[in-house]
Amino acid sequence: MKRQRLTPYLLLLPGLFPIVAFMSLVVGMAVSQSIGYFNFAGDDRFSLEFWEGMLSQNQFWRVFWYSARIAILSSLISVMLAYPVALWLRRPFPGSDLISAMIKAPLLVHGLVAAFLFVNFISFQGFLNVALVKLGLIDRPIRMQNDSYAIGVVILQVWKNMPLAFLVITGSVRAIGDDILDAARDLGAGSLARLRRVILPLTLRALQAALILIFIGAAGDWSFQVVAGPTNIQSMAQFMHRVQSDNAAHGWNEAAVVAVMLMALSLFGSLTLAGLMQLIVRRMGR
Amino acid sequence: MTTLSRSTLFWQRQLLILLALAVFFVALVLPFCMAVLWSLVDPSTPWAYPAVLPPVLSLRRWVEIWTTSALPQAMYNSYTLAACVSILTLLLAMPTAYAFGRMEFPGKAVAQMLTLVPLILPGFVSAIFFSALLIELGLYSRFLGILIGHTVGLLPYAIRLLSVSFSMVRQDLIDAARDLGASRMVVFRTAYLPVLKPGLLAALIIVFILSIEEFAISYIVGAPDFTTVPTILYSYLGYNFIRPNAAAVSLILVVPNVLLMLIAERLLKSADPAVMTGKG
Amino acid sequence: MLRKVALFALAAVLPLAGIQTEAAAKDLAQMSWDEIVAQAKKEGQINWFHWYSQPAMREQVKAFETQYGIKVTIPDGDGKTNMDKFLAERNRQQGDIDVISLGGSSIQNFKAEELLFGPLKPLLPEGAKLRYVMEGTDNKGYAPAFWGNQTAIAYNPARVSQSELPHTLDDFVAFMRKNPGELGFNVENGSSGPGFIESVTRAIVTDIDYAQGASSPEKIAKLAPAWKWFKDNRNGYIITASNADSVTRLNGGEFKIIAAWEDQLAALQRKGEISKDIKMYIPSFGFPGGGNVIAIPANSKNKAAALVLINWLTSAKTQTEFAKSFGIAPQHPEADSAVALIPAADRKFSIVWAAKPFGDEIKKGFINQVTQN
Repeated sequence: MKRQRLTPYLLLLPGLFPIVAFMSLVVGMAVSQSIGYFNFAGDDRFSLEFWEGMLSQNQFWRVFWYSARIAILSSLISVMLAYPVALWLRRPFPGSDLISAMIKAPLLVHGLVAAFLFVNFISFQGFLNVALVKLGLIDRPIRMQNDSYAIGVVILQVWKNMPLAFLVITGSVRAIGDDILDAARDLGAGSLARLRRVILPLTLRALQAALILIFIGAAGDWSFQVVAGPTNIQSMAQFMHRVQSDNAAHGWNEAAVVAVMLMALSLFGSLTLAGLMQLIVRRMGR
Repeated sequence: MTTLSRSTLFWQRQLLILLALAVFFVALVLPFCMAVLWSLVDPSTPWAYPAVLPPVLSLRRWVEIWTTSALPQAMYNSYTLAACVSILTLLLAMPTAYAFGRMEFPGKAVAQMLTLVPLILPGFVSAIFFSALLIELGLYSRFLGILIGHTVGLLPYAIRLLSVSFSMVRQDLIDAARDLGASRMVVFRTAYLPVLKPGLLAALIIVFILSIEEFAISYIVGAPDFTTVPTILYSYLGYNFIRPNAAAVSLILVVPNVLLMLIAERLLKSADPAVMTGKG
Repeated sequence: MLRKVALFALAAVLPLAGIQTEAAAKDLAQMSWDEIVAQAKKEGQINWFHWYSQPAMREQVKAFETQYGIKVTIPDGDGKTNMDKFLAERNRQQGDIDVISLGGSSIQNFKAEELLFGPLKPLLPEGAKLRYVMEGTDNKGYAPAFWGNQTAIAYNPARVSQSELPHTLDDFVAFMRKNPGELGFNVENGSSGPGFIESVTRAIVTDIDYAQGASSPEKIAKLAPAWKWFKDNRNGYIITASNADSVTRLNGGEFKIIAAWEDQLAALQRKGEISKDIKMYIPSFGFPGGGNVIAIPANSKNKAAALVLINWLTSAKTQTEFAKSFGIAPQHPEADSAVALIPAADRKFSIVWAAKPFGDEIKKGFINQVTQN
């Protein structure tokens, strides 16, 4: 009997133990290096100097808010684009399979490849510039690569993540029974009211899941930023990598502070966004 | 009245489909055509300002990349690594997935949440501090390091996919086989295997692809001399930027994976959305 | 039983193997060159960590591979990660690096006697003819020079006429006013852009001895006027992603002028990747030039093969070939220097890179004070 109760936990070991061990070691490494332990350059000792040093840098906060801004914009735009499309494709019609296959296609394209395709497309010799010049809209090609407002990065994030949002939302939109919608219609609810009172509340969880996933991915982005991002500011991941490799003596400790802040941004930022979404949906439902 | 609204609905729909096709064309087809065009630029005749189209096209660049770049080595590294990662991941995931798919026990929900943790840790945080860990442990084998990193990072996908497969095995079939006195092996073959097989294959392929595509750990742990296909693409996009070569390597990274993924999706007709996510 | 025997055998052989390689390493000094070549062939393979033009370099070493039957592997790492790996492996008994290319002055970052095998000067048959002082750094015979190069301004004659080209600092300001966004240089991924940053900085901040590598906060603070110059002209220039990105975008017609390496541009032109019309010059306030050296880490596994490769690389024949296909300044006294991209009259404007670690502070200062602020 006792053995039977233990069985499921024993079965969990091979899959769950590596994950828990690896994650706690890696996060533990980052946290302890940020407070002066596992020092590669000198003696281990508890110290908050790396935290004080990093958090008093203007540059750090610029980078922090930059990544936060990219993450918020990317997740909101992706979800806002994906939602109406998912509603439109709720019930199949001729051609709907083709469209959802087309929407999902970017999921199969590697982030670095996407960044390259994009930069190639908007570059000075790229298709877009050539087309604009040929159409007579501009005299000379426009410089769009690595724009300083990071519009390129947001476009790439949306391009890559809108399909993800679409997949997550589609599942929950399709799960809404027709009977619920019919009942709402019989009670005299117009299409806008049905959206506000029935569809949105029922798909809230999926909306939040999509927001959280995209926010975390965009906040920790490296590939898009390095290839297509502005040259006058770095993302958190890029900044962390640079601090680690440039500042020989205490690079690891300072990078660890950035890492902990990035984890905090991912966690609290995405949860806040999900919470706000819940508030808005509740408000609208009233 | 109804016919009228039906036909406007029809035209609306056609218009929207056309719009979707146009967006798809601009966002995906055109950029890929550009990449193909760039990869065909003849190595000895530059495509320079003010030429609008490349002056000479040839396949010579593909030959040259294959013979002079580290691409064959990178592909060998990527593919052997991915094979090891996918087998190891599946072996580790199976017992756990069985417990999630076919058993009820206290703490199951918490355990399921815990398996998803690697998905929410930013990739570069885990890559950089995993490499710190490797330095601390004195582990110099990059292959082993990346193998561990990929296996742990991809376990959540395998566990989720296989849990679904295990939960679809029908208890009445298992009971019937047992009642007929079948041995454990026979029960597994007749009741489990047919249901598990597509899920297993799909999980194998998906983990394989995600391992090939993984960039952060491969780059941080593997640098400078253990290259995989994404890290070589990164070097062609950064320090060694030569646009036509980057175009060719991009195509090499994307095309085989798309084909594999299409097979995986066939296998997983009832695909769970969250596990189909590509990591960039 | 069998397993026990195997374990014993292994335990007996392992220390022996260690002693053998130790002995081999010591013996190289006593061996004749022919014996070294024979030992090299026995080793049969070699890992050369080199950080640029690897594909073309793999083509070049094919001649070496057929001549000696030694397989050369050139990984794709960049300069920074190669250096990090070299330093990270210092305490390993045997490292992965057999031969490493280094920037002339980067030897200032570590102690050559501890981390490098050598000195190579007495070991190489032509060792006495080679050059061991590079970029103001004397490496005391540990690392012969094999690559000479120069940073300069490259321009696209399809976009800009020769008379418009800026030569002094004032010219540059006027040029940027008149042509905003037509000057491109990189900060990360290669040092052609940092070379430009250094020349401007040195032309503006003249009361520092750039041959002294020591760094201090006061010394760094003195660079402020240079950062002001770059900030005041922020709309005049564009920061690109890498050496190669600058060249690609110059070739695509996006820029009129860029900062670039002479050898990189020449190699791309000879290869046909970019237009042959692109030309170079050195502004009169001076652009840094120097070169790279090659060394064997103290924990290299294949030292004899490493020596043979270095001998081949630094030979008059290979240096002549490199001058032809890479546009380098050859480093063997008997090598032919080929046609250069930069006019001979401009060579007098070549300056030596600022000594490190202070030299690196210039680039870091630019990032912290100009781009990220």
